[in-house]
Amino acid sequence: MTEAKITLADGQRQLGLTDTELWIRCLALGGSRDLRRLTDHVYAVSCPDGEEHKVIAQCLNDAFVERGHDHPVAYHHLE
Amino acid sequence: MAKLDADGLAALARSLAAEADLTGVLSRVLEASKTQIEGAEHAGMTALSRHGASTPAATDQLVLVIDDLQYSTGEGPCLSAAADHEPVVIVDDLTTEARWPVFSPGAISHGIRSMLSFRLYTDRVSIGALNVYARQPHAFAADSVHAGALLAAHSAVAIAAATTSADLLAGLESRDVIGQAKGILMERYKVTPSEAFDLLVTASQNSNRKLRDLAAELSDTGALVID
Repeated sequence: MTEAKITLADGQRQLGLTDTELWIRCLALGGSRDLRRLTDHVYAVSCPDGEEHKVIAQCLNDAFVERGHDHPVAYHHLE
Repeated sequence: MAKLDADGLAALARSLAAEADLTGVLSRVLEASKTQIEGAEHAGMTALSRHGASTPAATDQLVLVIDDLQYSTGEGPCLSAAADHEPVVIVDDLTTEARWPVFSPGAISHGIRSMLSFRLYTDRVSIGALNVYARQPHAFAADSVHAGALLAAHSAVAIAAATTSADLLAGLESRDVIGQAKGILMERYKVTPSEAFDLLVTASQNSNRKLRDLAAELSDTGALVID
């Protein structure tokens, strides 16, 4: 298992996912936030919701797995 | 040939919006390309993904042959529009074309002399290219280029919307599968929904597999390797 080390925002940026693409992926995984709150969370200075953070991180990590990587996005907020 | 004026564009936009799915939208776009772009004998769409370029829709087999030639050689008007982000690529005569020295002779051998490729994009996404082909040199006049550019702009919006709808539908199906998997784990381990999701996350990390795939497997077979 690779040590998680990048933020949600860095993960989204590296994957090149649009906000809408990420939102649909989160919806598919059980996320319940609307698009605006999702993007606010990704770029938040502090974590607004630990449970939602895990869902977003898993969405991004699934996308990384599709590209041959191993879960680089942290499941908790990084300072 | 119907003139692609404001009324024609409005009718086209409505007809694209009325299509039930992406396949219907692409079919309508290609049909409109042949009827609205004067000189167009064949039409196709180049799509870009992280796996490379492909042709998800074409009016006939010849388009697939010409497009495969571009994808295998890594050059050609469709790729210049889709991958190199040229808004419009105009090919008046492939016999005098110097931009694609490997592709051009191959396309000529299949009888193609003129092409137009229009980049398909929105503010947020780059989709690919809309392409039309003709056997005659200089088949496309300025009006054809203008009509194609208008058609491509409307098509890109419709394709992006249809793609989002398809993704949403797939997302809802996936959400259902994950809900089933969480329910199984909640019952099996007497845990909360959040803890059940954590178990799936741990299994995903330990196996380096997508959570959705593990959830589907669990839902189908009852099996989940967590450690």
